Amino acid sequence: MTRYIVRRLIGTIPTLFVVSLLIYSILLIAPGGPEDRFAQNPKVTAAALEAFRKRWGLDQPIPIQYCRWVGVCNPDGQGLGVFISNQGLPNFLPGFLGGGDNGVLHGDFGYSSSSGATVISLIGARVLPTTILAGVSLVLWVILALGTGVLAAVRRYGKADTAITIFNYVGFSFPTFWLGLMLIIVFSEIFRLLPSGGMWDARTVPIFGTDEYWKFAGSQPVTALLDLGRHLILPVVTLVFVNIAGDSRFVRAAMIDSLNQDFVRTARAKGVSERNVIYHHALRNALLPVVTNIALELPFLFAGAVATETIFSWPGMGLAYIQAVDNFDYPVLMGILVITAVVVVAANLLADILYAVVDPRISYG
Amino acid sequence: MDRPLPPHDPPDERAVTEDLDPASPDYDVQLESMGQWEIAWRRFLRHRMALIGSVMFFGMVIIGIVGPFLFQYDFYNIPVPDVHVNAGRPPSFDHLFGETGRLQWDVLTLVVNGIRFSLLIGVIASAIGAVIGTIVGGVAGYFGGWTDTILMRIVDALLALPLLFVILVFTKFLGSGNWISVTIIFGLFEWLGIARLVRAVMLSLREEDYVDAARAAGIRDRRIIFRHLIPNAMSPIIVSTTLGVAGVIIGEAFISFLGFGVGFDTPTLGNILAGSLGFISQGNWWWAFFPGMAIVVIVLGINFMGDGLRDALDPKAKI
Amino acid sequence: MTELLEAQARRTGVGDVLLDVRDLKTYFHVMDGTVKAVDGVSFSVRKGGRLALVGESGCGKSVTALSIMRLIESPPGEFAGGQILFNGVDLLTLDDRHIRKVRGGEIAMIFQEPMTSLNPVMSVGDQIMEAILIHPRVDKKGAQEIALTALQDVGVADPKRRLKQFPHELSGGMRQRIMIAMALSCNPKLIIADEPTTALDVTIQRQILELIKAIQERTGAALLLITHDLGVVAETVDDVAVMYAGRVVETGTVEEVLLNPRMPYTRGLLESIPSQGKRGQRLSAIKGTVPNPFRLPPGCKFGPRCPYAWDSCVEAEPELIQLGHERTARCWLNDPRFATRRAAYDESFVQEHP
Repeated sequence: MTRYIVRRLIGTIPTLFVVSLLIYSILLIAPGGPEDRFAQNPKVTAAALEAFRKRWGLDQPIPIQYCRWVGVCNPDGQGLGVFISNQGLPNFLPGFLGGGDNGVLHGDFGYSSSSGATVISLIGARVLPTTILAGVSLVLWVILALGTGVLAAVRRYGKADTAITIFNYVGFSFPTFWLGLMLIIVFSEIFRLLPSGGMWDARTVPIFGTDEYWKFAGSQPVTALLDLGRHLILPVVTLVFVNIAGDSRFVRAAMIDSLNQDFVRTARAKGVSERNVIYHHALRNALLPVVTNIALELPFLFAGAVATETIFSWPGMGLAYIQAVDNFDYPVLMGILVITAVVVVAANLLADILYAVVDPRISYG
Repeated sequence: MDRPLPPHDPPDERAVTEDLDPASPDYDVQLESMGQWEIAWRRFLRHRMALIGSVMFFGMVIIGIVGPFLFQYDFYNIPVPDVHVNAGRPPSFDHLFGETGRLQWDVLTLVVNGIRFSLLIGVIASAIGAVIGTIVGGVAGYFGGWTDTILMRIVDALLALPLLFVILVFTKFLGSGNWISVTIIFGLFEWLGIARLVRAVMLSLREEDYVDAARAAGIRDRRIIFRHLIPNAMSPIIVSTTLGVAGVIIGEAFISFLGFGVGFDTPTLGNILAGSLGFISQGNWWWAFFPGMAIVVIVLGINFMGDGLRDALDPKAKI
Repeated sequence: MTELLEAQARRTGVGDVLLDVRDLKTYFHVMDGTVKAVDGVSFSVRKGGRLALVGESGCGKSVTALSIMRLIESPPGEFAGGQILFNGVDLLTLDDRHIRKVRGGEIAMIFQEPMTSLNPVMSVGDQIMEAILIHPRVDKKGAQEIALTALQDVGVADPKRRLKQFPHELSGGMRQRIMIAMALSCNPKLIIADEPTTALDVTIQRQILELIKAIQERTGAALLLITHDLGVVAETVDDVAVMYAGRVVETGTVEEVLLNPRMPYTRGLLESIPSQGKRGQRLSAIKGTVPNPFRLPPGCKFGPRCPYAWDSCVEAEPELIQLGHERTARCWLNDPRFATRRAAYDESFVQEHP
C-alpha cells in the first residue's frame, strides 16, 4: 500500500511540472502585468524601470525566472550555482533540510501587486470561508445526491424517477450565478428574509477571521453561529441545487448498472430482502465509482465556487481570484492557480487510493 | 409501463437478451435494410425527452435568427438618450419583458439579440473545440507511444487547471470586448474532453483487423485516421460537441457577467445579466429574469437533446 | 412457511409432484412490442426427480427458471397467465415476504456465469452465510459451521481459508463450487441449475456436473437442469422437456426422447451432437436461426426450419400430442391422419441411426 502511494506520488511530478509551465506561460503572454503598468507611467524614468526589473528579477532569461519562481533556482546564485541554496545544498529541498526559501516549492508565492501583502497570507485568509461554504454544501449535496440517485434507480421509469430526472436536468441547466441572482431577488429584495451577501452582519458582528471575531464568537457563540447560518443559506442552496444534478445522475447510473449485475440476481435468489439487495449488495458496488467521482469533484468545489462566492460576496478563494483578475494581480492569480492544480492532482490521487482501499479486486502491485 | 423504455437500459436486459439474440441474422433482417444514421434518427424520434429538447433548442435558434429582424437593435449605434433613468419599468403590453434602467432598453429586444450571439458563440466555439479535439485525440490514439504520452500529459495538465479560471485570464487580457475573440478563446479550451474521447475510441479501434488490412494495403496514416477511424468515433464526438454548446453558453454568460467577456455593444445573455446587477437592489427582477430563462431553456434543450443523441447513436443499444 | 406449504399440499392432495408448472406465460413488454418469452409452458418435477429443460438459447428456458424463482422484473416482465405449483402452493400468488422464504430456502438456483454471479466486494464466506442466516434460524457461529460443511461437501480444499477470500481470487470452477455450496447450504427441496457448466472449461464441466448429481442424490432434492447440451442431459437427468420459441415441444424420459425423438426439432438437436459413431461424417446443424420473437411464424414455430414441414404445419400450430404416460410431442407427424409422413420420418431416422 505504501509503495503504491509513493509510486503514485512520484507519478504526479510530471503533471505538476507541466501544470506549472502552463500557468507560468499563460501569465507570461498575458499583457497588463506590473512591468507594463510601471512602464506606462510617464513619471517613471528608464533608470527606475531598470532598477524595478532588476529587483524583481525581470532582467533574467525567462527559464531562470521560471526556475526561481518554482524554487529550484536560488536568486542569489550565479552560473550553475543557481541550483545551490545559500546553505550549500540543492535549492529545491525544504528550508529545514538545507534548501532555499524562495519559490512555490517553499510556499513563497511572492507579494500581491495590489496590496503588497504576501500572497500566501492573502490566500490563507480565504481558506476558512471557502472551506465552510464548500464543506456544508458538500455534505448536503452528497446526501441528497445519494438519496435521489438511489431512489431514481430503484424506482426507475416510475413517477419518482421521472420527477428526479426532470429536477436534475433543470438543476444541471441552471447557470449558478443566475440562480444566485434570482434567490437574492426573491429572498432578500422582495421578501427581505435573508442577507443578499457577505459572511457576517457588519452592524453586529466583527470582521470574520479577526481576533475580535473569535472573541465575539467565544462570548456569544449562538449569535455568531446564527449570523453565519443566515448568511450561509442562500449560497449553500445555490451550490447544492446546481451540484446535486450531476452526482444524482451519476449515482443513478452506477446504481442501475449495479442492480443489473448477475450477483444481484444471485442475492435475490438466495431470498435476500429487496432492502438488503439494494443497500447491501447493489449500493455497496455502486459506491465504488461514486466515491471516486466525488473525490474528483472536491477541488472544483474548493476553488470552483467562484460564481457563488462572487454573487454572494463570500470572502473565499473564488472571490479572491476574481478580484485578482480584476486588479491584474499576477502573483495572487498564479498562487491560486498553483494551489488549485495541486489540490486537483491530490484529489485524483486520493480518488485512486480510496478506490484501491474499498475495492478488494484492485491490488496495489 | 407508461412510456417506452429508452433503449440503453431495458430494466431486465438479461432476461430479454436471452430471448432475442441480436447476433442472430434473423433479428437483424429488419435492421440491415436501414443505414446506421437512419436507425439513429428513428431512435431519436422515439426519445420523448430528445424531441422536447430539440423543440426547445431549435425554437431558440429560430428566435435567434428571425428575432433580431423583428426586434431591431442597432448595437453599433447605441442611442444616447436624453435621460438616464434610475429604474426600469416592469413588463407591460408595449414591453412584454419590461424595460431596463439607465438607457431604458426594451428587455425583449435585448434578449432576442442576446440569444443570437450566445448561440453563435456556443456553436462556433464547440465546433472549433470538436475539430481540435478530434485531431489531437486522433493523432494521440493512432500513433500512440511518445506522441500519445506527451499530448495526453498536456491534456491532463490543462484539466488540472480550472478552465474557467484560465479562460477568465485570457478574455481579460486578450479578448475582452470582442465577441469573436471570446468565441475563439472558448474554442481553444473546448477540445480537451473530445480529445480524450477520440483517443480512447482510436485505441480500441487500432486493434481492429480492418485497420491492419488498410495498413497492409499501403494506405497512408492520414487517410486511415480520417477515412477509417474518425467516422467510427463520430457518435461520441457528436454527443460531446452538442453538450459542449451548452457548456460554452453558460461559461460565456458567466464570464461576460463578471465583465471579462463580450462587451456591452454586442448583447449576449451574459452581459445583459451583468447590466442588470446594479438594479437588483431596486427590485428590477425582469431585467435579470428573462435573459437567465433564455439560458435555461437553451441549455435544458441541449441537455435533453444530447441525452437523446447519446441513446440514439449508441451502437450497443437495441432499436 | 414449510408447515404452511405442507398443509396446503395435503389439502390439495398432490402426490409426489414437487413442482408443477401449468400453462405458464411470461411476457416482456419492451419498446417494440411484447415478447412472449414463455407462452403456455407446462411440465412437472417429482420429489427427488431430475428434469432437464432443453433448447437453444432464446427458447425461453432461462425465463422459465427465473419465473419459478419469481425473479422476473416487472416492468418489463409480466406473468400473463398460468400457475407454478410448488408443493401445491402457487408461487405466482405469494407475496414478497413469502416468496423470499421459498427462494434460497425451498428452491435454490445455480447460475450460468460464476464469474459475475458472486458479489465482488463481499467475501465468499459472507455470501454463503448470508443465505444461511436468512433461512434456518441459526446464529453467526452456526452459520459458519454450515458454510464450512457446505464447502467441504462441494470438494473445496482448505474451506476455512476460502471463506475469507474474495471471488476474484478464485478460478471459475472454484466459484461455481461456491455457488453450489451456497445453493445446498439451506437444504432446498429443489435445485435449479441454469446452464451451470456452460461458462466453464470442458475439463471442469464434468466435475461440476458430477458434483451436482452427487449432491442431488445425497440430499434427495429435486433437480431442474437447464441446458442446451443434450450430452449433459443424457448423463444427468431422468426426464426431459424440450423447449422451442417459448413452448414445450416434446417431453418424456431421457431414453424416450433421445432414442426416439418425435419432434424434428429434438432430432435436429440430437444430430448436431458430435459423437463417436458419426466420426468422419459431416455434423448437421439445424438450418436457420431462432425466429424473431416479435414476428413468430404462423402455424408451427419450428416450421420454417423443419426439413419435414408441409402445408399443415403452416396452417395451424399443433397441440402437445399425448403419446404415452408423460410422453408428448408438439408435431403434426404424431397425428394419426399423417401416418404416412410419420413412417417416412421414422425411416429416415432409422437409416441415419442404425
